[in-house]
Amino acid sequence: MNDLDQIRLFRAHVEPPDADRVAAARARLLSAQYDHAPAARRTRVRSRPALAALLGVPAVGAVVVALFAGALNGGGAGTADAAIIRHADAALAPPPNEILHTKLEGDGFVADWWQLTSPPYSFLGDKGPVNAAPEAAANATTVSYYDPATNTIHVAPSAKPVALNDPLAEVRQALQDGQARVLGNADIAGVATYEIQFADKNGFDSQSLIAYVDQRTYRPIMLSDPQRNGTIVHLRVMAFEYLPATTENLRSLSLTARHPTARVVTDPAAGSAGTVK
Amino acid sequence: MQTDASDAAVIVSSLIDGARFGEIFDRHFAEINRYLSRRVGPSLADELAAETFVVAFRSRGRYDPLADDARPWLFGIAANLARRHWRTERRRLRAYARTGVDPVCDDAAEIDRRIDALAAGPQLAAALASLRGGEREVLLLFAWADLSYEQISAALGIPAGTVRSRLSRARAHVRELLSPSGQLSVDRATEGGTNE
Repeated sequence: MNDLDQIRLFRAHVEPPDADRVAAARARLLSAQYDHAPAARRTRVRSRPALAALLGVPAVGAVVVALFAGALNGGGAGTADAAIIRHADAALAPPPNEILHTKLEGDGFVADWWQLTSPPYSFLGDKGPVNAAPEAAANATTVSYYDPATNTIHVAPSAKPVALNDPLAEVRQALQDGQARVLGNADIAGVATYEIQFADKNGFDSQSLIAYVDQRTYRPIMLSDPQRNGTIVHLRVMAFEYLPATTENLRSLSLTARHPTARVVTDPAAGSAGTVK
Repeated sequence: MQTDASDAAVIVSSLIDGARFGEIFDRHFAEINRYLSRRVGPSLADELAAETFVVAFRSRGRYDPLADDARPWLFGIAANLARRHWRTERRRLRAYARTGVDPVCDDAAEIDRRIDALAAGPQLAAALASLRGGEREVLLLFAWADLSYEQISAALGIPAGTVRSRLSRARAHVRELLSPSGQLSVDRATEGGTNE
């Protein structure tokens, strides 16, 4: 048992709050919700979350994919492996002033995302369970989401700077940091790929993320994310493309362009210094 | 009502409909409360966990709509609130180190069980008490809240490199105090520790 194991065991059996304690805390929150308190100023820029959190993937069973692992290289990162990793990094680097479109699917989850690769990093996308992923958008001044039940676009002011939500940013960072190694070749639904494993906080182990990149383009084809419960979440990368920021393509960043008949409701107060409705 | 929407989607929609923030409470209150209980005891944890969600609700306009998982944000708020009570936390750790009885636990039978389960408890309490506040915070967010380096960085608003160095120092310090050759007397070990 190492030091971390001992710390994790320390006070590990603290009881969860009972119903009365939860109810008391909920009452305080309810009180705050109906209190006309101003929201705090916006200042801090958060760094991107880890890949698993970024993708928001539920830990459920794997999708059926044609995955036939090829022969492993069986030994450290040689020159060829280094070249593969270098190419994969280059293939993922976002060019400025374009629109990055990514679409990932798997395990009942979908993330379909369009975003400018340069400030103000305006985006539009939906991320969540298939057929239930909320559509949201943001730019330098507003955040908004679409409510299909009422065919309404809700808009709230926001001074929060938007960051580039590149779902493969963590993969790219790991490639640049040398935290990746080539395991071998794999055939993914008829596409020849390189199988690249990424170290996590425990190094390379059975829970390390694996990406399969197309051997021709070095673009990702699939991500395999082992879960703690022993299952593996497979995410197919259905789209990974950079689009020129033409007028037509920029419409893909607009909720009103996507839902031209929707009613637009702007709340001038919420999100900045207003009241809660 | 619980939905499958991401935390970010719920928080963004709560800018329009504040009642939706209750869903964030339902998803994360127990975990935040438990983390705080381990640090400062159940009574104070109830107060701080409730305050965490009030603060979160009032500052939800600052939430990064791209951050699907609200845990780092919530743990960051909880850590900020707990920081005001670092003397309480250290006092409890020292008491445990000296007496072998953990004041965080009120149940005597449970105390006995835990002491059996973790014979090194008092030494560990001494080691944690002797850490600098910032190092203890990073270590416990990593070990107890199970946040990654990047998530701790976001939670505390410090660079990821600082997270790594603090964690490395904290673990080295704990290892030193727990190792047979590095064992210090409980009194000496608990004399250290600052909130820097």
